[in-house]
Amino acid sequence: MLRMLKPSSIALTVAVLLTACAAEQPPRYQVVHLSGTSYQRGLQHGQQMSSLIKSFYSTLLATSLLPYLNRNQPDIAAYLHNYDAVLHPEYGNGQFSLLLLRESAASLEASIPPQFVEEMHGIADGSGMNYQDILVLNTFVDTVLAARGITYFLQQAGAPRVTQVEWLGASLVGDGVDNNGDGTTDEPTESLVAPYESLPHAMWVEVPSTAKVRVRLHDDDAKVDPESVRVIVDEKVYTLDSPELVVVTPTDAGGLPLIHDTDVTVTPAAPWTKPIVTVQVQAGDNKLSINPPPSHEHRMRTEQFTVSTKGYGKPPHLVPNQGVSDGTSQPPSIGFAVRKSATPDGQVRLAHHFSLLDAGTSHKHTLVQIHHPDTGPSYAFVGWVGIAYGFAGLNSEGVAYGCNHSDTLNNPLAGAFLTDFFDAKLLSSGEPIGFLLRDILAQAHNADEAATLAYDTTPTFGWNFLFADKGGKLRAVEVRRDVGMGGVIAKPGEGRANWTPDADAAGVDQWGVPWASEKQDDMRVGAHFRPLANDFAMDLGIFNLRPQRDWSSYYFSSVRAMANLAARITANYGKFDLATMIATLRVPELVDAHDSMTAVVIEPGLGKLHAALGTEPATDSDFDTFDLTSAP
Amino acid sequence: MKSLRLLVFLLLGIAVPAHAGNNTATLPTGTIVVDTAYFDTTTTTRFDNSRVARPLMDGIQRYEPGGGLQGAITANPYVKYQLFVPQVMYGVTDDLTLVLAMPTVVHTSIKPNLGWTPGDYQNNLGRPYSESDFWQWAKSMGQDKPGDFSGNNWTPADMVLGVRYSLSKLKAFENNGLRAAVSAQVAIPTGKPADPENLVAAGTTVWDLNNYGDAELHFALEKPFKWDDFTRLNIGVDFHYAAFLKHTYQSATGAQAPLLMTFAPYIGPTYTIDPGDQFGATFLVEGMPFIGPTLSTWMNQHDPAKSAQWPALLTLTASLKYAHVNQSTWQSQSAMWDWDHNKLWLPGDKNTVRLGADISLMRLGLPLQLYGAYLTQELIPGRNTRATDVLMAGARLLMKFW
Repeated sequence: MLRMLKPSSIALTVAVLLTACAAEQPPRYQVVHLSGTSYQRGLQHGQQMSSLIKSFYSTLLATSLLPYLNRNQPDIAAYLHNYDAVLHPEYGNGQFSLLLLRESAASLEASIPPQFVEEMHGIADGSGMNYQDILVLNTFVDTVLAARGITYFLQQAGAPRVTQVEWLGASLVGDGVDNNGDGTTDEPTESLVAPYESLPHAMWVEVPSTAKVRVRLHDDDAKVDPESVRVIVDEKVYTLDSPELVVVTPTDAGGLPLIHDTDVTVTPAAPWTKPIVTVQVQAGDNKLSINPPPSHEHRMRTEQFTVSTKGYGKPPHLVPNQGVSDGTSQPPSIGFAVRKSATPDGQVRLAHHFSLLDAGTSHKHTLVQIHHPDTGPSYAFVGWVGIAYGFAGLNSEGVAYGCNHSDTLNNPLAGAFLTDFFDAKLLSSGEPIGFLLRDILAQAHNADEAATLAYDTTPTFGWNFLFADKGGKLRAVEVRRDVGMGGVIAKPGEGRANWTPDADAAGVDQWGVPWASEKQDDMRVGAHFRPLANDFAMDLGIFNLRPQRDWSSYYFSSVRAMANLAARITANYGKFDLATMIATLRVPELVDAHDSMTAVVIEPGLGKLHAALGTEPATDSDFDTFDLTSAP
Repeated sequence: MKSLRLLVFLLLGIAVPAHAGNNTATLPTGTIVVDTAYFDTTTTTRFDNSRVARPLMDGIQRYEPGGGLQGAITANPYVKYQLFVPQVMYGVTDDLTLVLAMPTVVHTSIKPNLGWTPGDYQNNLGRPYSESDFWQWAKSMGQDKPGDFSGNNWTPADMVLGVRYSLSKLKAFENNGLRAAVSAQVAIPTGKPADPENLVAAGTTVWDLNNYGDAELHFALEKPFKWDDFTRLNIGVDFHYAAFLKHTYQSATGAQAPLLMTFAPYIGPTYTIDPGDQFGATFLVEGMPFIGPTLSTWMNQHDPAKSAQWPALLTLTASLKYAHVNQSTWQSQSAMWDWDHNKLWLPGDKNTVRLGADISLMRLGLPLQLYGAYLTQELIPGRNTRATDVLMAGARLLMKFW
């Protein structure tokens, strides 16, 4: 027998033994084509993605978000007695966050159109998971963002905050310039802003480059820890170790110390080097908090304001409060759309990069869903397994969207508190964002209709939408709830904005500057409000509820990202083909390296959706093309 | 009698990462050998796909939900197994020998040597997470910092049954002065799997020890060289194929490590591991630099001539074993989880260098042999395999009752 074995067959056998069965990496992301009734599509989704749905629920919710939220129970129960684990043991034993999300999901379910409820039942049945968990998976974003906003705001309320800023050493009074853009020149208080408020643009212009700045910090229940003070001016970092930085306790007119205030003065050793200078301030107090761990002092967010120096020549509203990232924050979700003169070929294109909550797992569970309903248009969107929606999508009518969250205290959870105060339960209400987006895909024939659907919704949180259609229409919409004392809910039309880059009175600010366009053929949205910048303000005595720009952790990074994006759009006007859209999404200053989730470029006129999925960040992936016009 | 010393390596080879020595000898009919050996093994290194030495575990990146990268838990585990391996061999005929070995883990200790690489700046802390910050955070999520593992005290490993048949009498070998044998062995699942809920744990099964297969087949060929009518040099090669069976394991439910080991909800209550089969060859050189005196004792019936061919007082061995290792395959209800493991166990190879010394006291009138060896898999880098270093010492006693 041995003689019958040729050397080549022996070599082949050895080669097979050596190379056999190397494991293959599963696909980076999943694609499902779903057809039939809502339930049937859900069932197909659940059956095909069963294992991934279970792992997504386990790794994102059960072992990450839920225990993470449980840590906030003591803080929340301190105000809202319904969550006290002693009085209400059902919230004890680690069940607080799951029960809260389930109750909120049940509250939201009433506002979900029945066909989507059917679809979620199909997902549950197909995957073998219970419906309650699928409902939570499809609504937790609405509840968690609102709850996060409130808890983050409460944390900030206990931290130092900037109350006034003043320029010293080189007076702005008498320079013949309206430095603060208030329409008055050289008023006595032109060097001073008090009370301080965050702005998307410069606070002063034409400031002498030798000026020194004094920032007053206030802490309601503690005192700023001087060791924690960190100020960046003109990209130079100053701390208590720096001779240029002085920390003192100010006094009132009678000479008595203001024990909750701290003045921080920075006198740069040399004149500033740049025409636009941003001042960034951060500090903590001397009150150590051990809950939730790790132990930490109360830290304010990094506050920033911008000035231009002598000779720059632009008014404050034309100088963005952009600043420079020092690596302590990541850019948020962004979207932009171009058409006509912004492109080389006249095609409409919409790019969107959604960043929120990867937690090391979301990117492994991304899914492209292509729906072929029994009635109505086909559509495709990028999202995650087990979830019936995505934050960017396209329908066969040629309507494309991208949607971003936008922090606001003007949300139903805050509304519940304002209605029931300490007896409130944190139940969300309104139309969950995902199902609004599904409604848009199923119903809208153009961007105007899509924008109207978004505009007319009863939102669960703050949302910024960007729409584009194959006819070349671009629209942006901002919405937030309208809650007030007694839980007044907004009527349609209140607390919303809907505009185009065309000649549109709603599309420009008080100075006639477009909210979100560089020229006539582009629009962009970030994670902060533009027309709705004053989204909320209410002084309750114990809480001074403030607008997004005064507390949101996303605010300045979004302002910075939008300014960066605007510069890219201007620089590439007329060149925005598919490759340039993708290249822009991949600009490092626009990419959240660790919470990136999905990235797409959509060409509604061609019926194509190009998606980068399955890596962290998503933009590290190739953009694969899905063609709605040729989909089965 | 020389064959007594040589045969023992059949099972030592089973119980250690590599084996060497004479692989063709069988016991004379009716002869019994009782052998006991102690192994001290340490594993700290794995080789990646580029043959670069790495810690046994990659870092685990941890994320603050919505807050970016907290940092990476780094680990540089130190794994130490101490084994006691008693075995009994019996010569059924001059050409056929049976072997039974009962490897027993005396103790296993694992030091994970956890460290920390900070991640993103956390606004609410005013700093990136330190290691202390992270474990405070983890504890608040129900996850304590994993400690050292110490266990498996006197726990049986998988037992081994073996058989060897000498082919040396075949003309093709005899006429060329060659010795040859085929050997086979099977493992009996008497070992204990690792605690599925414990992040830092080890068991005593074939898979845990990863040193011998559920079934092995060997073909050995050797060429002795004699001077003054005594074999002073022996060179040989042993081809082997080790098959590993697919086994089923319990999935972790997160009962002890909820943050890091809650798998059952999505991978299912159990999963399987099909370890990659291994095959390759061992190249052996054996020298006898010191034969020693031959005394007149009870063993040779006071006739030194009868023991002229008995083992040399000192024998030195050196061997190199190359083993190709096929893909080890995890299979559960989650292809993603499977891949997270499979990618660490891609097809590869390992190279074991062994240096050993044997002292035989038979010529001095004692039916006792003492031996020791050092084995290393770190000297010649492997690929996609873990490298173990072994120090061993043993003794064997010859008995014949009829």
